[in-house]
Amino acid sequence: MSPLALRRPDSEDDKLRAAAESLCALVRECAESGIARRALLLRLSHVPEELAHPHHLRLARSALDPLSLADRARVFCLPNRDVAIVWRGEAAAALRASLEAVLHLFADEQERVPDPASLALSFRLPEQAEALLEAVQASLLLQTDDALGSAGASGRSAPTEPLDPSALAGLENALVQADVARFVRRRQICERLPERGFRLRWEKRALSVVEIAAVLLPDRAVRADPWLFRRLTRTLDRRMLALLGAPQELRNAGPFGLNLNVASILSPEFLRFDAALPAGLRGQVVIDLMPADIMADPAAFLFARDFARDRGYRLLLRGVTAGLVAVFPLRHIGLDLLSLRFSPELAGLDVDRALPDAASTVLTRADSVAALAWGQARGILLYQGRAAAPSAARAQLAG
Amino acid sequence: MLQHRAGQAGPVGTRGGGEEDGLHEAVRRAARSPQGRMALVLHLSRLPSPGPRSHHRRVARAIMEDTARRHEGQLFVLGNGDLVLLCRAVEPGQPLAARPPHGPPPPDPATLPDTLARLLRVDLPDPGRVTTVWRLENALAALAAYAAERLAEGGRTVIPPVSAGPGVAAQTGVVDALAAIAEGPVIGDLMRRQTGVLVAAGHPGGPAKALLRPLYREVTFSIAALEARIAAGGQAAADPFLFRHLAGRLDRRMLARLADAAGTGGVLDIAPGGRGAAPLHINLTVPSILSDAFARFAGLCRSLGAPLGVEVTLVEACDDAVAFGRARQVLAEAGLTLVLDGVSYLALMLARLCALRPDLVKLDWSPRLGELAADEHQLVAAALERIGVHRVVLHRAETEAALRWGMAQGVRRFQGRYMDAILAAARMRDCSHAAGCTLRQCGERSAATGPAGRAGCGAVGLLDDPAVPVDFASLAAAPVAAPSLGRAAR
Repeated sequence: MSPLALRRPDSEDDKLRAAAESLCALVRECAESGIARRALLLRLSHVPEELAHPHHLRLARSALDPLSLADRARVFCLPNRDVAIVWRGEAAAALRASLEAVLHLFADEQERVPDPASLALSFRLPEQAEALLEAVQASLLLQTDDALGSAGASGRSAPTEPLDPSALAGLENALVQADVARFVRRRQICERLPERGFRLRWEKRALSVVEIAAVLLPDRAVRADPWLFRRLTRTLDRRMLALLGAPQELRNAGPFGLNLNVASILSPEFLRFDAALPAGLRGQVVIDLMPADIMADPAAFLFARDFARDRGYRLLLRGVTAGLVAVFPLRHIGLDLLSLRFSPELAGLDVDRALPDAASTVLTRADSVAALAWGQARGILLYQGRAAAPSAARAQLAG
Repeated sequence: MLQHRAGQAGPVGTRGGGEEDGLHEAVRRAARSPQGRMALVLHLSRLPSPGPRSHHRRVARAIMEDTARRHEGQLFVLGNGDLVLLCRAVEPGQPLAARPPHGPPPPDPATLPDTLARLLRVDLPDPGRVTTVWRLENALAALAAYAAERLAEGGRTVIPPVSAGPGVAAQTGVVDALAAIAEGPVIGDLMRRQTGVLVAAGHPGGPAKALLRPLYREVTFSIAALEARIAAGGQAAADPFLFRHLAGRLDRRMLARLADAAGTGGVLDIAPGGRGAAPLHINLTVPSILSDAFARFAGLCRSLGAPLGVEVTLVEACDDAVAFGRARQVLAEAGLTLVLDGVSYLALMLARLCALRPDLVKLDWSPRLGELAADEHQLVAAALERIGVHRVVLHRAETEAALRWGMAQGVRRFQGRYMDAILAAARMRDCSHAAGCTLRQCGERSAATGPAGRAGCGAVGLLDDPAVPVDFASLAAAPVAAPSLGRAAR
C-alpha cells in the first residue's frame, strides 16, 4: 500500500495543524498576558508502533479524561498524534489521576515502554511556555504518514470509558471462549554472573491485559478502576492455567513463572494444571503473588502458600515498591522470593536493613545501568529489565 | 453406590445428604477382610463457623484422591463436610517413600495426617482434631460406629455443596444495584454510626473504676441494610475486589452527604461540638482521598476545625503504596487522623504494619486470639508493641472475652457490639422513658443517623453517648458477666 493511501483527507490534516497552531497561540497568549495555566502533553508519538493501534491510542487518550472537567480545559490533538490539554487552576487530583492512568496503561509493557512516565509531560504556564511551544513545533516537524495512519479515524469523538461492572461481566464471559494463547508474553528473569554477564533463570509468562481488552472490549479502559481490574486478573489467571494445563503445552518448557491470585491457586484450574505439570518442572515454577491480594484474605493465603510449597512451587511477592519493602519482610510472610520494583525513589531510600537476603530478591524494571548498580551494591543477583537481558546466543536456562 | 471412587469426576460436595450410604456399605464389606486396610477421616465438620470453605474441601479432596489412587482406596464425601478415605495401609516399620527434593510429598497414607493438619492449622490449630486414623484389623468397630452415626444423621446436610456461586453477571449486577441505591435520594436509613471508646484509667490507688469515654463516632453505609433493599444478603462482600469497587462508589455519596450536613448540628455534623462531641470517622478508598472532591471536603474540615478520622482498609494501603503514601500526606496536611482498618490478627503476624505509619490501627477481634499458641501470641504481642498499644483499637469487640483480651494486652481502645451494649445500658439507666424500651432498641436508635431510625425514642438527646464510668474491678482477674455501670458523666 502506498503511503499516500494512508494519508488523511486534507481537511483532517488541516484540522490537526490548525489545532497545533491554536495551542501555540494560546501558549503565546499566556506568556504575554502572564495568566497562569497548566498543560499536560501526552506524547503518544513515543508509543512504539506495535502498540499504536487505534484502540490503544483511544485508551491512552482516555487518560486525559479526569482533566477534561478542569476549569476552562481545552484539548488539542496534534499532527504527530500527541494530545495536549490546557486548563486553568490547579486540579491537582485530576492531574494525578491522569498521570496514574498513563502509568497503569503501560504497566505491563515494560519491554516496549520502559518508562511510561515519560509519555506525559506537565507544564506550568507561562513559566514553561517556551518548552511547550518547542514540543508543539516538534509535533509539526515529526508528522509522518504512518503516524497519521495509525491515529486514523480512531475515534477522538468516541471517548474511552472506564470499565464498569456490567462491562466487566461481558468481558469475563467473552474470555470463556476466547483464544488467549496469542496474548501470552514472556519476560526474562536473569541472574547476574560475576564478570560473565547474565544467565536466564526463568521466564515469566503473563497475558497482556491491555491487548486482550483492546480486542475484546476496545471502548473501555480496563485499568481505570483498579479493583475491577484486579477482579479481571482472576479470570485471566484461570485462562492462563487452563492454557498451561493442556496436554503437551509444557512438554519442552523450561523454568517459568506466573502471576496468580491466591484464589487462583485454590481453583480447580490450578489443580488440573498441577496434575499436568511434568515431573521435571517441579521446583522450577515460580508463582508471583500481590501484597494486596494476600492481605485481602490472609487465611486463604496461608492455606494456599502451604499447599503450593508442598507441591514444589516457589512463591514470590511481587509488585513491592519502596513504600512496602519494610511492610513485608520475607521471613514474616513466609515466601521464597521478593520482586522489588526499581525506581529513582527507591534509590533515594535507605532500604538496606529492610532488604531480605539479597539472593531472594529480583530487581524489576532494571532498565538502566543505574538500576543494575543499585542492585549490585546491595548484592542482588536476579534482575528483570532491558539492562539485564542475556544475549540471545548465551541464553541458557540455568536448570 | 454413591461413593466417589478415586479419580471419578464430579462436583466436590454432596448429593442430597452425602455418601453416608456408600461409606456404610464399604465398611460392611471391609469387615470381611480388614487386614492391611485403614481409614482416615478428615473432620472438616470441626472447622469453626462458617465451616469449611470451598477451597478446603476442593484441595483436601484432590490430595486424598491422589492417595486413594495409589493405595487401592475409595474416598467418601459426607454430608457434614467430612472426607473419609478407605485404603491399603502402610505396614508398620515399612520405610516411607522418600520425598523428592522439589516435589510434593508422596501420597502416603502415613504422612497424610501431617500434611492435612499443616494445611488446616489456621482454622483448626489442634492437629489431633483434624484427622482420625483407624487400622481396620483392630479398630473396625470405631469406624463402623462413626459410619453409623453419619448414617443416622439421615443425610442432614450441614455443609452446603460447593457451587460456583452466583455468576459474574449476577455478582456485578448486585454491586451495581447497591451502588445505585446509595446514589439515590433517600439514604438516611442506610447509614449507621458506631462509637469507638477509650477505657480511661481509674483513679490511681483507688477502686478499679474506669471511664468509658467516646473516642469517635464511625459513620458508614450499612451494607446489610443496602443488601436488604434488594434481598441480596451477604452478596456485596462475596468478592473482595468487587466490594472495593463498591466502596469507591459509596465514598462519593458519603462525602457529599457529610458536606451537606456540616454545621447543621445533626448526627452527621462534622463540626466539633456536634452531637456526642466525639469526632466523626469515615471510611474512604485511597483514590477518593486523592480526589478533588476530598480536597474540597478537607478544606471544609479545616474551616470548621473538624477533627475527622479517615479509615483506609489494609488492602487498599497495600495495593498501591505510592498512592497510599500520598493519601497519608494529604490527610496529615489537613490535620486529619489516618486509621488503618480491616486488620486481622493474621495480617498482624504477616506484615509489619507499623511501617505504614497510621495514627490508629483497628485490629479485628477473633476468638482465635484467645487461643493462640505461645509463638503466635508472641508475634501478635510484638506487633502490637511495634505499633504502640495506644494506637490500637480492638474492633468488632462483640464479647466480654474481646474486652478482656484487649485489656490484658494493654489495649484501651475498643469498638463493637459489646461496647454498644454497655453504652446503651448506661443510657437506659439514666432515661426516664427506658421502661418501654429494650437494650437492643436503644442500641439501634443510637446507631441510626436519620430521624426514622430514632423514632420511638422518648429521649433522643440521650442517644449521643456520654462518658460512662464502668467498674472493671473484676475484669482484670476473674470472669464477670458484665462490667457494672456507674453514673454517667455529663
